[in-house]
Amino acid sequence: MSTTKEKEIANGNDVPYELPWVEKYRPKLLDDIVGNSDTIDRLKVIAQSGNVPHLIISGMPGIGKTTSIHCLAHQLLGDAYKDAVLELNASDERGVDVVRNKIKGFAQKKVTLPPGRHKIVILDEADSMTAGAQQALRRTMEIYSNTTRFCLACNMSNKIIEPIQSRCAILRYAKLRDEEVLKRLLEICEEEKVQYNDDGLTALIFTAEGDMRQAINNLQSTWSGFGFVSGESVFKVCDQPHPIIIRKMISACAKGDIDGATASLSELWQQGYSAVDIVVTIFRVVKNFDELPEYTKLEFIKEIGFTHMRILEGVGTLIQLSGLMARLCKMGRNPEEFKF
Amino acid sequence: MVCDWDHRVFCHLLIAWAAAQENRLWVDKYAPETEVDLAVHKQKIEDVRRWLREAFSTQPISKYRRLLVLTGPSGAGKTATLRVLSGEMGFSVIEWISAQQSPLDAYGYADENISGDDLYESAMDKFETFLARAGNYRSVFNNNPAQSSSSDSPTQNAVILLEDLPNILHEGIRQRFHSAIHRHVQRSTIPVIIVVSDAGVRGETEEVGAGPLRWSRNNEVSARFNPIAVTFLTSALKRVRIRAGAAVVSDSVLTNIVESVSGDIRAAIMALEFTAVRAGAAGSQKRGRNGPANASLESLTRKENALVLFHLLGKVLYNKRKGDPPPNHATKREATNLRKIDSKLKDEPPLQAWFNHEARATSRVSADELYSSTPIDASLFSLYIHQNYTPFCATLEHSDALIDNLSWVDANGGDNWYEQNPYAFHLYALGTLHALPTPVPHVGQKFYKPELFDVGKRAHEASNAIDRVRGWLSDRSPENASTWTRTAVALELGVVLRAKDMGMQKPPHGHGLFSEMRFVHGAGNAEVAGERETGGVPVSEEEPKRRLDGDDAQGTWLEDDDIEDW
Ligand SMILES: Nc1ncnc2c1ncn2[C@@H]1O[C@H](COP(=O)(O)OP(=O)(O)O)[C@@H](O)[C@H]1O
Ligand SMILES: [Mg+2]
Repeated sequence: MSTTKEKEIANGNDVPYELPWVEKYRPKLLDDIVGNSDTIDRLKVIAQSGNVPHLIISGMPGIGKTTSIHCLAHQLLGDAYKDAVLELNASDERGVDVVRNKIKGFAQKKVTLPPGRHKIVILDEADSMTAGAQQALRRTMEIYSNTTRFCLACNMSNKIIEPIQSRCAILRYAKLRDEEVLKRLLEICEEEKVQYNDDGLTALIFTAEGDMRQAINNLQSTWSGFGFVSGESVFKVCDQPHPIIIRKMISACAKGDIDGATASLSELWQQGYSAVDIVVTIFRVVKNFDELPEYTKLEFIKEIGFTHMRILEGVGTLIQLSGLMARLCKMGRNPEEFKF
Repeated sequence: MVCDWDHRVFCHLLIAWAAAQENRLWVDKYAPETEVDLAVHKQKIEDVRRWLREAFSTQPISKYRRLLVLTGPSGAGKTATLRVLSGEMGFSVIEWISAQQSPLDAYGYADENISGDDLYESAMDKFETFLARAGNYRSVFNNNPAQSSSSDSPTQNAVILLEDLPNILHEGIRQRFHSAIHRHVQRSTIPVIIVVSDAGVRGETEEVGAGPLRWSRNNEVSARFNPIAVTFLTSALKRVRIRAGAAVVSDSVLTNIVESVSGDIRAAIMALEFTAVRAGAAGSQKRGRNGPANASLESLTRKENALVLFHLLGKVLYNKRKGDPPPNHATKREATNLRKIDSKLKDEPPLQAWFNHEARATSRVSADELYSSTPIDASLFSLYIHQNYTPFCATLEHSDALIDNLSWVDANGGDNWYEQNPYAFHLYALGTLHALPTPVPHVGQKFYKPELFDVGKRAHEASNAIDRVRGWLSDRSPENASTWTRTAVALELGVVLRAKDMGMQKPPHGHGLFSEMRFVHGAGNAEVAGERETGGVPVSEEEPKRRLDGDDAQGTWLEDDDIEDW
């Protein structure tokens, strides 16, 4: 599959442009989509029967919602895809009537389709539409359903009004599991002859938090930037502090060891990470850190959130972060020590 | 030859028509045609029928039958009722469909250069033209005025159906829309029927004008449709199953569908159609027949939000922890399963001695997993916790700790986050779990829909009423109009308005919303989040257990036991 040309591209150093891997490895068939296998099976049955209902697919970003809809449409429509699919980003309310007109025009357009198939309107990020815009679509969906079916993708299905939900089959995608992301990354590494170590893959998975798009993007950037995918290089590419240092820091806080905590903090600060980068990674580590009991976790997250807000207000200083360390450490020390 | 050609055209048309029939969704193909097929409460149909009969009559009352607003959840049969009655009573339905005669270029696309505002304006122009033309409908067909008003030629009756409304969230459009309706009601005898569906879990009935007050100067009548009762829904689905020849769908699957759609018949028929596809395909894939069909059902029919919200609330508010005894009714297998799950949970790391009272057993719930698997935003989550937490607390301390956490998050997130506070969900979940007793006492808790929505709606209506009173004041004495600010009207005019009500020149209807302050008890008003939110959703993944209160889909809710094994 990969030509010599592509291999050159993969090495990246002197080729100015290369196809983003998220595009290059965008699944073409429903079969290629990783994860959510039950739900994907349902889509396959629909693809087979040809009769696609109005659909809503919901779930977090980068888990294959848009891709699934594209695959489904391709499998249903074959060569007619070009003419029989209308993709819309109907995000603002003022555009409702423009959108309505477009859909109307599209629904009335004559297209030769395989028998029993329908034209498809894809509405991506449908939850960014206002309730008013959604109301406007409701009847349109019904009026043209003989010829045209709607596929909606959204992050939050509770932002889709009930009258639209009532007209749709709803499929919910779960976040991709670490193994699932890993599997796809390994396939791409193999195809692109990427050199990596386990630490690097773990780092990719940690930073992506179940978002396949981000994982693949980071893989590509790391590979083209460093020529090797190690933990170190991934965190550099993502411009994120290394979670190992953060973990050390939080352990120190939990024990009330302010010297240990601030030592880790200064280390990160000297490496040039911004206050936001640091605080965001602290949260990522803390929420799943099994060294912390529930109460500590809760109280830590409160402090972290509070600090994050201060930083957003413009005070992203070392003192700000040191203050956080001090407050966390205080919880790890006997209150008696603070009585005079 | 000519004849032949005609015949060919006819055949083509026929084939095209047949193909179009095939391509229709079942909801359209098997739409009810007579009252027998209509799964709506007889009384509701009768209400609408009577209204229509009065509207078409020559009696004085017909003057007050010009505007009917049908409200209710989606899939409750509002439009279908109208269609059936139109067949039965023989009147035509003139429907307004937006974007109907819009400027389309040769490819059928709207001209991109038209700005949003122009388009709105032109859309409203069209709407007004439509109403004006439709208002003259009768005279187009019948020039004899004497006959046009007689009711013995029922075929000439017509109603105007507005369902695909112009975008009324836009203030200017809203005003034009309302005055267009008002004008129409004044001068035409053709009744207007507006169909408005509820927006959903958040309970924000859209701004469109579902509240009767919005229309009050037009003497409108409004009829509210309830979710369709289980018995009606079941027989309607069975009829569709026969007509569609979908015997592959077993009775138990059909029952499952009925139970999972919260009285939404459209969702039910959609589910039936795609379950039939699934069941058919499963046969050819040599899979077990019932298995996959049942599995597919769950996610095709569930009212996504309601179900997810419910699972989420149940998980958090029942606060299950490692080592909790199995529920009383648990089978041996279930109990063993629970022990197995517990054995995989790590013990909590020790908490420092000075936090002793904060130590808890490991939670069976992971806040982070909840977060990544629920497509519900944190603010809605917190509203539902806020509405429902008290029955889950055993002491005042529990309540205190819980509400303290909720308000901490609100006070420390809020406006400073550009989009959404990324910590909120975790804090709501963790904080609630931590505050609740363990185990939570089981006292038959039910979940309620946040009252905030209703309060917000009432506030909105009251504020509209203030505007109407101001309009009324300035109509009567333009020179004093400016002294009556909104605040002044709201705070100082109450007694006068109420006194006026008894006199001749009545102020606009609805001022009671702000001129009369009634004391109301809080929680008593909350609606059991039954029918719509949860409606008989099977809660346990392995073994759906549910409880229905009578046949009428009234107050279906989740009992604590249902959550137990989940
Ligand atoms: N489940 C998946 N399996 C394989 N690739 C995926 C998957 N999810 C996402 N990707 C990759 O990420 C890219 C973006 O996915 P997309 O479907 O746009 O995500 P979403 O619409 O859920 O935000 C795709 O081009 C693909 O390369
Ligand atoms: Mg997408």
